[in-house]
Amino acid sequence: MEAIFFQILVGLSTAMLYWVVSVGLTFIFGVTRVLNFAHGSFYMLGAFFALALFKWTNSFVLSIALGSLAVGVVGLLCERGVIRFTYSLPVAFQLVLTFGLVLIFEDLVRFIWGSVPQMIRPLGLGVVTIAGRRFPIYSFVIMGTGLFLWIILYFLLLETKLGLMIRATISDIELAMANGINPHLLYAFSFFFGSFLAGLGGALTLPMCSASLGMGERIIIYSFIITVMGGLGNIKGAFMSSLIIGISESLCAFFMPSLTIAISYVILALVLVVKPEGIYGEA
Amino acid sequence: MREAIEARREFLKKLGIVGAGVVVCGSLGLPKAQASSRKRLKDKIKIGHIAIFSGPFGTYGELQKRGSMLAAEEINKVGGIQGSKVEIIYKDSRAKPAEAVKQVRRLVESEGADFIIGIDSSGVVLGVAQVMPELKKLLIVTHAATHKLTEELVYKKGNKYAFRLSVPTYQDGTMAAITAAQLPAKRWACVHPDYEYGYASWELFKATLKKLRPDVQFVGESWAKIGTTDFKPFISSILDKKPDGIHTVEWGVDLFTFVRQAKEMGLFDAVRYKDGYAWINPMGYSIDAMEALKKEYPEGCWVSGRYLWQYPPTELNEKFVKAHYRRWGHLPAYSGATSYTAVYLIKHLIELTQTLDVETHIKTLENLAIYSPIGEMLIRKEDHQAIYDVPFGQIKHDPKFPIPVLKNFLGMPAYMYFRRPPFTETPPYTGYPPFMSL
Repeated sequence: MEAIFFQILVGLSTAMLYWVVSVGLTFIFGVTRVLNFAHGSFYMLGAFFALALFKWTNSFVLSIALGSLAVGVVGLLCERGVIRFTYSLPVAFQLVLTFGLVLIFEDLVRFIWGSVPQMIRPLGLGVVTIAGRRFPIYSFVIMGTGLFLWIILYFLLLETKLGLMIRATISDIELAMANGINPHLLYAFSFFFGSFLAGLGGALTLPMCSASLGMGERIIIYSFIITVMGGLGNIKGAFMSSLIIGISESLCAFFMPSLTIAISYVILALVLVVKPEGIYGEA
Repeated sequence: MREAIEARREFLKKLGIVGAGVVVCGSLGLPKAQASSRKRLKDKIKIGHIAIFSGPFGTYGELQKRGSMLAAEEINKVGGIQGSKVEIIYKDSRAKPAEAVKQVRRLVESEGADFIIGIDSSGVVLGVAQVMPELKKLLIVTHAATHKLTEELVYKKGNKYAFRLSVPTYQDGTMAAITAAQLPAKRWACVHPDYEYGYASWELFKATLKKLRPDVQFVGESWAKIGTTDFKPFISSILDKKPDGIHTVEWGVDLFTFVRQAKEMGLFDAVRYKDGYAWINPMGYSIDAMEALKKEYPEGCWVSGRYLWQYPPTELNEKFVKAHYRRWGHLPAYSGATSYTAVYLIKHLIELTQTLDVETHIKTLENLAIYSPIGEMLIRKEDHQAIYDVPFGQIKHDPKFPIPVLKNFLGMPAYMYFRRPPFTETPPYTGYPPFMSL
């Protein structure tokens, strides 16, 4: 019983990381209707930016904050620079364009940091003993960040004027424009914020693993699974499906180790069969 | 001990049998090849080198490239292959079989490659090897380890065009189990990458260890997909099975993540015994892992590779390691050493046969003995596998070296632990030979 509890706890920390990254993708899609393939690249950039900043400042908190903000700016520049020209074009153009960005960022990172994965020293936050097992304290930091983000998003969307404008744009863009909302401002903001979250996710993984080329490829698959499963553009859906994927993977590693690789696809397929629009439906 | 010596003698006898077929792959500072008197076969000898140059495992292509490029530079400096310059064309497989097959076709059909070398992953090599008979070019594999290539494609299905200079999963499974059998651990568990290579290694490991130590149990398995950033679910589910020994063939960037998180969660402490850790990682001594993890890799873990720069202690190896370090500022990785050897092998193959005819090359390579930085190798006729041994050793941090080194080498002749055709018996062969201390 204790072992199962521990698996769930471990899965929860994985889930929160998925959530931080995939809500960024969901947010961008919700507002702009662009499926941003380059989201994974922003995740990778977050890790590399934080790595560089950490070597410079030696402060982890500062490097995470500045690193993810910098990724937000990169996302904003991509939106203003190229992506905005594809809003009125068929979706295939957006896919090709954002995929092109993936290739560009991959080569840029290789050019600047080389192809050898890089690590920073562990933070040395230590472990706590839960249910007779060691659990890294850093995982609580990730969980805390995820929950904090959940609260912030709720507040932003439900309590602020910006949130009202965002919700208005998501539900009916033409009506929103007729009421004087400038969608381009919102599009730019959503790319900034979404990319910031991807960068934050990437930077947060740094003490656990390494900054490496192609790390974005792996997370983008999860982000798409979670986004589609929760309902495209639906933030509540992204939260729920992050939890489902993270925890079920962890339990699967315990009960059916050789199926772990497939479990997230199986769950996605099941959800789509029962509810093709996703758990909470498209926003 | 006697059996071990017998085995070595057997190997040397084989060397004797092939006689003229012994070639030295590497630079011993020999006088300029007698080749100058021979006719040039071609303006340029083109070698297509396919490896992973992008994505999470992109380092592996670089590691290989350092070896093959060094060899080409050395060869070209002393006049090339009978006056022909060696040119190596590098292509990215992106770790995908279909992409690699496309690149091989392009290399042979439009870029005029005479040989193909490289290949990093088991899945990719099975795809590429199958198009070689159609393209009628030699494939010399320098990294991918699946024994299906040599046992099934070459031996059973008669694909004559693929050869392998790197050790197969016998190192990862069989030799790993022979090492494990020396340790006190009785409850073994695994954490492996979830693909062909992981499963093949674990099956061989279990079969051999069960044969050597009927008292051991296999208590748990974990299969993590390639590119896992969070190993915690796998580590905690394995910890729950209370193992006292771990077998893992995680490699590359996944290995860094796994070691770091395993340390944090106490998996190393769980497998501690008085002289180190019952932690067997056949791919552990990879240069990229050592450079990234440095002191984070706990002292006393048992690791190996497809070649270790510290072994064998021969002049040829020493020259290679020094040249590699001078050229690149890094110690050679195993795939670098095999790629280096492959390029030299191609040089000797052409000089020996005086032709570019692939059928002649195949006949010459079969049963050829090679002396290279990696050691004495024999290319077995039946399955085209180069037979050579690589020991296991324990990690030690030595301030004299930029990366951890290995101590307490433990090995046995490859002849005893490489599976033999028809690949039905579980090695080690002829009972249980005592270990040669190296």
